[in-house]
Amino acid sequence: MWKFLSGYVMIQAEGKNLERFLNLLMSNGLDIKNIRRNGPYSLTLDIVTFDFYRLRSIIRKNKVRIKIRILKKRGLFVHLLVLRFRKALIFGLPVMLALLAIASRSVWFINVEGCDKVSEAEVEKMLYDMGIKRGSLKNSFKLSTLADKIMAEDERIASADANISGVVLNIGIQEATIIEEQGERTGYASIYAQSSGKIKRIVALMGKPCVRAGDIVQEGDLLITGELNHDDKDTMLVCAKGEVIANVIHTFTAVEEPLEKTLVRTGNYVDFTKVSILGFELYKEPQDFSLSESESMSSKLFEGGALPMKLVNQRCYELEEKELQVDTLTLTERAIQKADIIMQESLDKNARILSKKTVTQILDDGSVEATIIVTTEQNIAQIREF
Amino acid sequence: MAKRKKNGKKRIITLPCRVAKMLDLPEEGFEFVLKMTMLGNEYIVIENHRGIYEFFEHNISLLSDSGTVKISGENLVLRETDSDRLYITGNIKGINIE
Repeated sequence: MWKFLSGYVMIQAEGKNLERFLNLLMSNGLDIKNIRRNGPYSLTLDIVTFDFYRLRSIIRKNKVRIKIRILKKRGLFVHLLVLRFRKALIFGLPVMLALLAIASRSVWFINVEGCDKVSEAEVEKMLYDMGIKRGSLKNSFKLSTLADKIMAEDERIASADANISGVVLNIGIQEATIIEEQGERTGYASIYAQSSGKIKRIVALMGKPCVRAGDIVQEGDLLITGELNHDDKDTMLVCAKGEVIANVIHTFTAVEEPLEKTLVRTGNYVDFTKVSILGFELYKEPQDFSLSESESMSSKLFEGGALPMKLVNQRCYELEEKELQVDTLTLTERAIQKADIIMQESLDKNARILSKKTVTQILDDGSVEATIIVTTEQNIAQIREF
Repeated sequence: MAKRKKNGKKRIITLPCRVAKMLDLPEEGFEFVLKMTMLGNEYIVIENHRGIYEFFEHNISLLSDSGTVKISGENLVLRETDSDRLYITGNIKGINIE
């Protein structure tokens, strides 16, 4: 391997005192290998490229009558020597290194870790709003303050840290466990189910739990009661407090109609010339049609020379509103997108999505219905005071 | 400090060698003694030689303090060389020290 990297030359030495020649090379510390005797007055050997250049001076200095002939040149160094005339490589390499050096001053990848409730896209959007995106310079923001800014941006983030390794900006976040502020209530209150689901765990801080983990509850069912009975005699009324985590199934549906109103050209048009001075448009377009759109016909008619004036030929087309049939694939995509927006608006921010399934079907009238079925893990406790 | 050998040649025993002997240490570390390591009959490493005297495909002669070392065989190649070390490969048939 080292032999290949440094490069070597296979030479043939011809002469009478070959043993003396070998001893001379060895005593001068030349790296020679694979010495083979070919005939009574010749031998071949491999010599490292750097040592080959020293060979001539040693032979001259010691007056050895040996004829040297190069048989082969091998190795990386030799290949590079061949490439030394390639100007593109010589100039391209520094340019490439310079580009790499410039590129390494920017952030090219953003890696967000620790996301559960807060999505990676949300964190990336936060960073984007702060002016940090792919391609931003590393010194355009301070890492020490970045973590604090992220924490301040979203209350669900308890702590955050930011560091840069190479061109990757690593954001690590730790989400907060939000305990809903139930306030200091003095009256009697119970906790009811906000939505139907399967109870995963129930923590009653005050009051008596009426359900257990694994129970299926309907919306409005009593979960933690604030009415405490002692031996069926005394009844104490308290303000129930607690958290009820349940797996809830949500369904979001959106329908996309097959017909879409679109503006199309009628075929009528009017040609006109747009005049602008100092960037202000003096004459925009004719008001012949109620709905219209303009299109440039050719390049600038008159640039104005030294004057800040511009004349451009344009054509104004009349438009009319028409109902067009949209293809099923586009309808499906739109319906899914619509259902997704509804889902994002409707779902509780603290809900953790466990599974998501999308179902689409084409209805009799040609419209497409998209249904997103989401299973979440969320707190379904709802306090009702009496 | 010289002892006379049977063949009449003088063998010089140096001070470091004497110390090594007293301390039961291997002498090779202190003296320029010819050392030959053979692996099967295909590889031989010769250390502390004094130069190549003869080099042919079937015969290699080396100079050393112990005399001339003659290695005979077939297709003998000096695989690697150093100022005091040689690595010879080939079909080695005999080694003779004269």
